[in-house]
Amino acid sequence: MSFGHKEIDGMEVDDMNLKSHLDTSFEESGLRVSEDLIRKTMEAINQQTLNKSVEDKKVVNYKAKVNQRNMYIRRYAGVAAAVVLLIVGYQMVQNVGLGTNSKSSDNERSYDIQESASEEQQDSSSTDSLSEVQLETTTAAEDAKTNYTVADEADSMETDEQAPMMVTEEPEVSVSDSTYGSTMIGNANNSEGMTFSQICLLIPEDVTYLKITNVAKENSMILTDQTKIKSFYEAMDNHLFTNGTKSSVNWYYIIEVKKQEEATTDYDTIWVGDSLMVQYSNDSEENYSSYDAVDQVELIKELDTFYEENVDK
Amino acid sequence: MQNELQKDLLEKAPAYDIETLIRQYGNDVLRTAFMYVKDSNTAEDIFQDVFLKVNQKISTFEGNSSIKTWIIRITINTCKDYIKSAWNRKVVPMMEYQEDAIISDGDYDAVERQDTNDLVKKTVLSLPDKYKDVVLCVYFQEMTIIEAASVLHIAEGTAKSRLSRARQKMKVALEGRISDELWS
Repeated sequence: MSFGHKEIDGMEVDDMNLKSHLDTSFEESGLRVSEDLIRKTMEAINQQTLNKSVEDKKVVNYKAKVNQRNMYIRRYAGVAAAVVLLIVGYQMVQNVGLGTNSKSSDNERSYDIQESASEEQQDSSSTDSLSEVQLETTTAAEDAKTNYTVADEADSMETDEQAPMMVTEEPEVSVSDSTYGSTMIGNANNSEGMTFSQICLLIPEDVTYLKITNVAKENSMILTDQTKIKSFYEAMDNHLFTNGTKSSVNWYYIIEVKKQEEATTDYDTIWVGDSLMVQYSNDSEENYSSYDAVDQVELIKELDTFYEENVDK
Repeated sequence: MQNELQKDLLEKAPAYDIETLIRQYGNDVLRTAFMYVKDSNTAEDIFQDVFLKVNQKISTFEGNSSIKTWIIRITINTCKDYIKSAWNRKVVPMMEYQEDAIISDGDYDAVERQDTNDLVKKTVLSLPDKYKDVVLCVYFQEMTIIEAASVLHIAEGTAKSRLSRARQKMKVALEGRISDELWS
């Protein structure tokens, strides 16, 4: 027996005949592949093939189910996404619409605020006039005009129409027009009474015609000169008037004041007697208010003086 | 892509009938398995397991080696897996011992030859696994060193070295116990 290492063409030479000894040993021990082992192995292989085909079918079915399920999931997800997009889009559109609406609402609110503010101003003016001076002059009409805001044109129109009526019922004194206005406001706040300029709606600058009639003498004089007219107003402003509580039987003087404009003519006619009655008229309507002079005697004297000084001049 | 590759391999690879393979290489598989597990029943189980794997993976056989080498590689790996799992289960397969009764004087030669064959077998089986692997591949399965190295996933030089040491161990184990004429 040789235990040397031999190699021929890369093959180890089995100089010990190991393969022969081992095969002989296995043959003698009966270790060989039997037909029964081959049959069992083939059965196992066939079963394996069968199982594999069944598993493959299961896998295919499972994949199909998974695909089908995924398809449904994808469809539902797609529908859900579309619904979400729809809702979001709708809300966006709605928000844009609301934004516009809110702007208009803001405008409306601001309009309302302006309107209410002007109403409040009117109310406060009315309240003030009622509680403090309670004038029955038509200055309220101009008050209303000056107090109105630009945004309240429609209301302004309405107020313009209502102004003469308000004069008779709730005389207002918040005139903010010219120096006379300032004076009038100061006097209006005076609890002692109103001046002539306040009870007469026409201011001297606007007056183009002023006629004084002495009832007793049945004579009258007409003033068209602005200087004379202003002089008359200044003389009359020396006296204060309150709302009329008594009626007069005897009239001493009638004072007619006219404001001539292009298309319209305003008249104020003031009857001076034991009390004063003022007629406010224009081309379409007439209103009346009555006042008492704080010092009626002095008022008549003042008128007599002015009349005597200017009647024949 | 992978399916196309498998399709190409199937077209290139020769059609193997599993039953033919079993009949052609069955003994090699069974006996190799026995060399590792040292139990005929377990070897038969491994035999079945190996050919189930062959049937299952025949489509992946690339033809880089002979089909026998490929099958033996599967056998060795299956045996090692079994030994590993058997070690984990702490199951030690029992060796089969046959005590044949001596019937006549003429049988003594046969008994002596059988003893020699069994002694060689026991010597190979007693080798450490790393040496037994190389001996089985090279001498029993008649592989080249390169093939054995490939099957065992070792370098060619390592295979040569292990084979040399295996021979030395067998020499020590068998020297003086086996008559020279039996090795002729």
